[in-house]
Amino acid sequence: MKIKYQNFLRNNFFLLILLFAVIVVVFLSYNRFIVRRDYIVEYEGNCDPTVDVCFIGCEDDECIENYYYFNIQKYAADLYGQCGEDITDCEEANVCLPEDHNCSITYCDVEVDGDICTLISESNSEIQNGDRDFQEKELLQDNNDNNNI
Amino acid sequence: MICYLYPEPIYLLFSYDVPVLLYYAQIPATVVALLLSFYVFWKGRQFLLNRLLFLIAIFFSFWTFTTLIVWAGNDGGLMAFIWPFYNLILSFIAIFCIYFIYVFLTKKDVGFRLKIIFLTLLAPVLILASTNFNISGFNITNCDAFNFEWLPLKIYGTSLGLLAMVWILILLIRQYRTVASDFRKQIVLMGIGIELFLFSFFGMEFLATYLTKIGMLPDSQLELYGLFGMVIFMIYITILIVKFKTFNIKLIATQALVLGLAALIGSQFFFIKVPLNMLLNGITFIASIIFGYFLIKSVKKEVEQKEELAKLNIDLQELLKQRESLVHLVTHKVKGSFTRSKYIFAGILDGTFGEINAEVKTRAQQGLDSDNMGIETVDLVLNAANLEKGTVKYDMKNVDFGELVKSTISEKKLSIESKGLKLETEIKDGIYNVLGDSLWLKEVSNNLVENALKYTREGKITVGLEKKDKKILFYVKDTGVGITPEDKVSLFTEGGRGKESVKINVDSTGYGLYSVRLIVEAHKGKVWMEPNKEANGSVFFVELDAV
Repeated sequence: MKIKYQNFLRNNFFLLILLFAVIVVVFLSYNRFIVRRDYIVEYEGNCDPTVDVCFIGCEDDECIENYYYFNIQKYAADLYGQCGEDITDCEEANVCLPEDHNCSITYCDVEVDGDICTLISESNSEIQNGDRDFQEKELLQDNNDNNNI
Repeated sequence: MICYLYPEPIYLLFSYDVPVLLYYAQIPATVVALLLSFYVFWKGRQFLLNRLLFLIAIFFSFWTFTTLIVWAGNDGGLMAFIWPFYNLILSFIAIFCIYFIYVFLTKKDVGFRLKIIFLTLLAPVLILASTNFNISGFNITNCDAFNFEWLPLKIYGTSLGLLAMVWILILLIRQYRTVASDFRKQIVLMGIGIELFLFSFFGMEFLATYLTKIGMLPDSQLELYGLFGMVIFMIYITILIVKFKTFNIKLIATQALVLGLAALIGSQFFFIKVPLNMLLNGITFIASIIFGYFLIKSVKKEVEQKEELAKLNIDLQELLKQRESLVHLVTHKVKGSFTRSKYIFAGILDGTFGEINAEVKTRAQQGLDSDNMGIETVDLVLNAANLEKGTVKYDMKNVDFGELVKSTISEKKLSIESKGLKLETEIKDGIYNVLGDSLWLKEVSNNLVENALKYTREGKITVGLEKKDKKILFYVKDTGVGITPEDKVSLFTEGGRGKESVKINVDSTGYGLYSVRLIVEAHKGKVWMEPNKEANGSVFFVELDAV
């Protein structure tokens, strides 16, 4: 019986090691991503173009209506604690709070991102007019596509 | 964390917000791979090769399953949990493909050292799988983790696919040079199948990830095309099973066809939305299964019968071999006995044992004649056996066949005339040179004349020779008993003795004409028999090429 068991181990050590390793990986990943939520969550936060330099996004495919956002990264465990599973109507999701372990907000940088950013001084009038020239719409469309990868 | 821009999926896997290609690519490929590999595994669980194929199909199914969840899902947490396994499954598929090919080529498990190498290659992806080096975060706006993957590890996983392709190619080429031709065909089929699978699977995966990362593609939909590589691989596996009985299982082409058909029709259920279409597909699916069942049953029966016949044929060949060696043994022993008693009778007749009276002399002469006939019969059987086996080596030279025939006539003339028969010759002037062995060609003419003598009670025997269009025609015509159509069938066959001929010649062995046929055919000639139109009797013809 003992010899049979030893033979089984010797013949299948490769598969057994892999099986053990996979079980460990599944356990560790489950613990990290599902239980502890130990990862960064990135999403688009609501941005006020009158106050900040925001990215311009399109609400629809034709890009008739726009919205303004910044990129925010939060520690998943913190975000879950503040908003639960869904952040749609959660105010805390749009700001970095002092108790956040890891939080950063990235606004649009005109020098890096160029014309896809709003300009604080002009944004008011842009919102009121609700109108843009053709070139800007095209840029917005590109921006939207890139962000939807 | 919910990806707030994406709809909630149905049963984790189904969503209207995904490319249709996703289901078309994933489901049939997975169903076909799982069904076939499970069948292979089930039929030969004791074989490592079968187990490895099933493992590869399981890894592949994990891959498609997780891909479906990620494409259709909107639960960021679940996807963040699943995402790290992509690289792991990719690496496993690559390494297990190498392992599979090793076992396929060598028919045994790989060594300890190679297993350590496999483990070493898998170690980085296993160790780093659940760390930030694999993925560090998740974007719940786009519902992906592309920007949080650590590129070096991602490239490492894909590179294992490239390594597998090269490694397998080298193994296949090296083995191809050293094996027999039948296994070479298997190597080519397996090589094409697995290389196409690896190329499409890893190639598309790499392209999709790379082009999405640099922003050239909006999403990684391109990788879905790579999954069709698995279907191609499974087609090659099926060919190997059906044609070469690889994996030690008997899968007939009909089974493979019906299984494939059922898998394809069955997979339609996953993307049919209209109830009427669902019903029609259901009817087609059930009908194809019922029809397939009966088809497989009848074809299986036919295959079994064929296999039984083939087995019987092998048994028969074995029996023939045994009989042949027994005949050789017996005939040699018999010939030895005849020869010994022949010399005793000859000794009695020539006075070696002293003076004998007339009565003893007559009996001794009868004994000597009987022994000579016995030796002749044994020689006939032995010659026929040797001719049939191909152990006779013909000394092919330029031979004057006319001279051989004339020699036979002069030798047999006395016997023919002593029986009260008339001997006529119809030898036309000409050169009758043929390429052949004079000893055996003489045997042909002797046999045919002797045959005519045995079966002719009265009348004449005519021996003729003529040349027409570079062909030499030799014939022996008799006015004997003739041959009935029933007896004609057994002429020139081994031991073929007609019912009528036995009445005339009780000592007929049935090996004389059989030997003639074998000798003539070895000289690329023809031999046949026709009834004698002039009188009751037969004409035996031999046609040889003139040189």
